Amino acid sequence: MSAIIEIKNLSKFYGRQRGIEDVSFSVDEGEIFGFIGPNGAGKSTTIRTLLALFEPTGGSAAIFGKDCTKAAAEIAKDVGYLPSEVAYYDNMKVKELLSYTAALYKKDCTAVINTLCQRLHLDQKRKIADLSFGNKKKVGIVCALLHSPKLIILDEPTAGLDPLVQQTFFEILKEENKRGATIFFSSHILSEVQRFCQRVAILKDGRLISVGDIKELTENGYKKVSVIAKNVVPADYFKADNITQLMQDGVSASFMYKGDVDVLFKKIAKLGIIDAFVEEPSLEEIFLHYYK
Amino acid sequence: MAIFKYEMRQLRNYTFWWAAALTLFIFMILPSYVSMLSGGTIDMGALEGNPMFDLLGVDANVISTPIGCYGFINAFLAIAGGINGMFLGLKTFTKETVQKTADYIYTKPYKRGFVFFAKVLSALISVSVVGLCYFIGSIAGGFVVTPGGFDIKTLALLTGSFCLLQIYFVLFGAFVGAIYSKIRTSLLLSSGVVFIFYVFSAFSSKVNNDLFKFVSPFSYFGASKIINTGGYNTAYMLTFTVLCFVFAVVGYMAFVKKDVTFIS
Repeated sequence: MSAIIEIKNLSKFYGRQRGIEDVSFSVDEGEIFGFIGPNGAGKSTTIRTLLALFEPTGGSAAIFGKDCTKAAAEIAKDVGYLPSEVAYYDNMKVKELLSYTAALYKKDCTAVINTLCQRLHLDQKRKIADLSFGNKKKVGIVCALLHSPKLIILDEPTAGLDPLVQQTFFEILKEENKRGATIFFSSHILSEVQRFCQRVAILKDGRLISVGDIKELTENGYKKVSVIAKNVVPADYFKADNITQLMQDGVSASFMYKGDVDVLFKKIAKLGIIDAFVEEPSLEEIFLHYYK
Repeated sequence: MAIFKYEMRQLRNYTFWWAAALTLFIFMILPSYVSMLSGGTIDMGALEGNPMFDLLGVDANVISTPIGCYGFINAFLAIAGGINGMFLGLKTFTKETVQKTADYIYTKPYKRGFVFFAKVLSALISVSVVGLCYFIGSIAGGFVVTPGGFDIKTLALLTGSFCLLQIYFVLFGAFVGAIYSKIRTSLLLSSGVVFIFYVFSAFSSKVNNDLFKFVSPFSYFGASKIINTGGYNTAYMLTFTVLCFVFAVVGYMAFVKKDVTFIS
């Protein structure tokens, strides 16, 4: 499987201020790739550099094997982008804007536009200025998908969409993915990344801290452990380097554990337990672990 | 082509009303001024050596003729033309940042250089249409004030100065807008900058410093000199061309390299 996006040691500084530093990862063809991190982590900076809206300070970024800065116009033919903050020409009607977008791609997209508008319940006769943020987001979705792109880049796509529209939106994305489109999905909402994406990259303070298969991240990494003991758990009983997010309250304790499960069970058994649970952590809990 | 068409469509109404206003203005105001200045109601001899005419690039002898009177009005309207030109050049770039539509337009399959070209071309066409209509209005006005109308060559040179100043300020506005795309007050800034250029032109006439006269484009097109010599000054035209070229090239280079941000 060939890499659709390939980022190598990518850095972007705004003067002395760091946007991203030394970020490297790749996204394979046909993949749904999640990109997570808190505000200011550098997600949008990475996306904007990929789209040649920013010139990188160092490293390289390629889409379809072409340099993102040098071949931006050529790459853009097959890229659909939905920004986090959608804004369009207020004096235009939705229909005019969508026709203009199709004209920019030099394609007749009438059928796709009508289908998408119908599915998203978007009235094409309304003026952009009169639309709510959610409806503007719908316009953004249609603009990003109308030319049937090979790569779809989404930056916080569900913000402002009601749950029903979100459901339709994910259905549309799955169909696009089945068609062969690669999806790069940046989001704060970890549950939707976990549900929707196959792999994920985690960004912190402008640096990449983890890239991996979502299943691997949740299955083979940390375990979420909860214990109810017969007696009060001694204060430092579970204190160890491979134990994080430790919460203790009398006879109960819960924590994230990474390491030999056998060693852990022996330690727990010594306590004399009433009940114990070992679960796969959610992506949110893994995410929190990285950010603590 | 789609970007160019869109930009033209955006400017359609603006260009129409601006052109109509200027055309009607010159057609209607010209007879009043000509009758006032050359009709004997004002003692032109008393106005000879009046520094105000020097500042406007016309002298009392020339202004008493219908074409001189046209040059006098044209010198004032050139300020409006300059503001219009700079506003169009500036706004075409700042609007994408101010409206936050930069992400939309600059992620489409067009090279940044092409976008720059389409935007500047649309502004240049708009001012050219305004200039052409203004020229037609001036010809018509000429027939009202003098039998057989104005000498077409002199009229074309004077109206040409109006058009050239508009072009100069479109390119200057585009140059500023490409570098400082976060300017929200395009019209206010354009008015201020053009007025400063105009005042500097008057100042350079007053101090009669040849070097100062190259700073403001308004100094390049003195109406009396155009009427008396039947052409533009070569050194000024050369400076004009070089500056227009510099604005276009530097603006282009800044635009293609610039990080696209938006203001919140």
